[in-house]
Amino acid sequence: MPQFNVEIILPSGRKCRVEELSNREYLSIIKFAQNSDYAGLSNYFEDKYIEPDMHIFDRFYLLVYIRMLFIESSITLEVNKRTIDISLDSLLNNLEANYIDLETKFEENGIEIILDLPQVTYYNNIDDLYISTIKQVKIADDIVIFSSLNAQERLLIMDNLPATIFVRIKKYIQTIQDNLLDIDIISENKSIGVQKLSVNIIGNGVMHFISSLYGTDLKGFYTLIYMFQNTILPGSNYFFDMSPVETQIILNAHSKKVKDENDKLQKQKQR
Amino acid sequence: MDSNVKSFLSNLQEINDANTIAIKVLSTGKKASFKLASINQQKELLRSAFDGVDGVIKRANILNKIITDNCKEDIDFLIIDKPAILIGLRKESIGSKLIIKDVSYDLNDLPSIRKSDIKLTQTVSHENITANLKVPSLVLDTEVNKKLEAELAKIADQQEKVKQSVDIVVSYETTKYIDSIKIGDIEVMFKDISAYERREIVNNLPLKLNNKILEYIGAIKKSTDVALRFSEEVLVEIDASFLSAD
Repeated sequence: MPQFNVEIILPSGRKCRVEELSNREYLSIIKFAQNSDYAGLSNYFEDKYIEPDMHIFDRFYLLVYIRMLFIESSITLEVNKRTIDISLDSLLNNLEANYIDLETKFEENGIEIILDLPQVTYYNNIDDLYISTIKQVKIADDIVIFSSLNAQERLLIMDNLPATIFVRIKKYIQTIQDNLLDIDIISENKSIGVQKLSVNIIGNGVMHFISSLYGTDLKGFYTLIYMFQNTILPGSNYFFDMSPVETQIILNAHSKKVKDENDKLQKQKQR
Repeated sequence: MDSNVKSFLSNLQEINDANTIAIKVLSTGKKASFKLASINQQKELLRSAFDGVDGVIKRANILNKIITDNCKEDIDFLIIDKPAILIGLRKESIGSKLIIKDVSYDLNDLPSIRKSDIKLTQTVSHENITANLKVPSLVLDTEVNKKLEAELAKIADQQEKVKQSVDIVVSYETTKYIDSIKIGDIEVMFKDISAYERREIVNNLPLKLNNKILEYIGAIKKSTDVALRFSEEVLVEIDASFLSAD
């Protein structure tokens, strides 16, 4: 039976459907985040949610959206010993407002190239940056779509391109840097002491931010599993199939029930 | 590998083979056809910037390989051919504009040199030792550089490497320019002995003779540098970013 899924419209205008994030998957994500394994975490997201031809801006938006939808709709910052909730919805609005379509096409020595924002989640090395900006290469009627190639094939084609194209790629990356280097994802609010938070998309700032967005206390998560499996839904394995946000709803309902029962008991004792 | 990718690569290869430029080779006096530099070659050159002393030697061989791989003719290049060929490849691959210390220059303004400006061979003597010198080929340059690279790789400590590198580089560099050494009736042809033996001989030559050899090397370098000089103070440096800088 197909899993529940939702349609998301990304900043570029493309639409995609993503399956609900389960606690089983969330546990893996927390482990990657706790180990600061950004490459592993990005591979995990790519397997589960990201289509190979999505660029980094859409990927970033998608991962924030999934966090908002299936885990929690806000992030909590501690500022001057006060906790402040920042809505992920406003963060997504900032991303949408900052998006610029920088796709560009040029021809050099009979080779037509389409460059776009990097189709990558995490840069393992500088080659990843260059390769991931190449969207399509065309010679006469022969076209290769880079996102459909494996890593070795992509590298082989890029390495055999004339050096003049490398100069154009470098200039294009400079254009991205000039337009989208630091995306303001959280605006400054002096009245409550919140400083501006920017993310650099030509670097691994995106994955570092996503990791902090998904990362939570692993021990606390194990305690939650224990509580669910033994107290709230004893004998059931349903916890792992639920989404984190559903878990929170059930947990809140359970807490309310316990509180109501305690209040009732207290009143009976007072009589 | 996917068959579409294979066919695409073969198309790419055809384009690269067709996009050629003619550059005059100093040692032959004729123009030869060269393919333009590829992204892989640029990247290899850029990577050499991160390898310290070893990177400088690696870079020399990367540049030699670019010259031999990109030339469509079978030519036994001499090291004096390097500047003009690399400048030619740079101009066509990246453009002729070059910025040195915030000033923009045009590589087309560089002077050209003539073969007659360079002494391709020379004989120097001291007492009863005679050294026959000649401008080395790119093949020999590459071969000796590889030995030099291996020698430097043995020194793990970076500070020690920097300290020792000058001596090691100078002695290996000297061996490249010696064709033969004659002491009395005994003549040793350098091409017939190992790189290690060549270096041992160079290290044991009398200082006066060694200085004469170094003078010859200096004169060759000075003559070839002319092709890289905009003025007395402004020299084009063929460094790791040479094929990629604006």
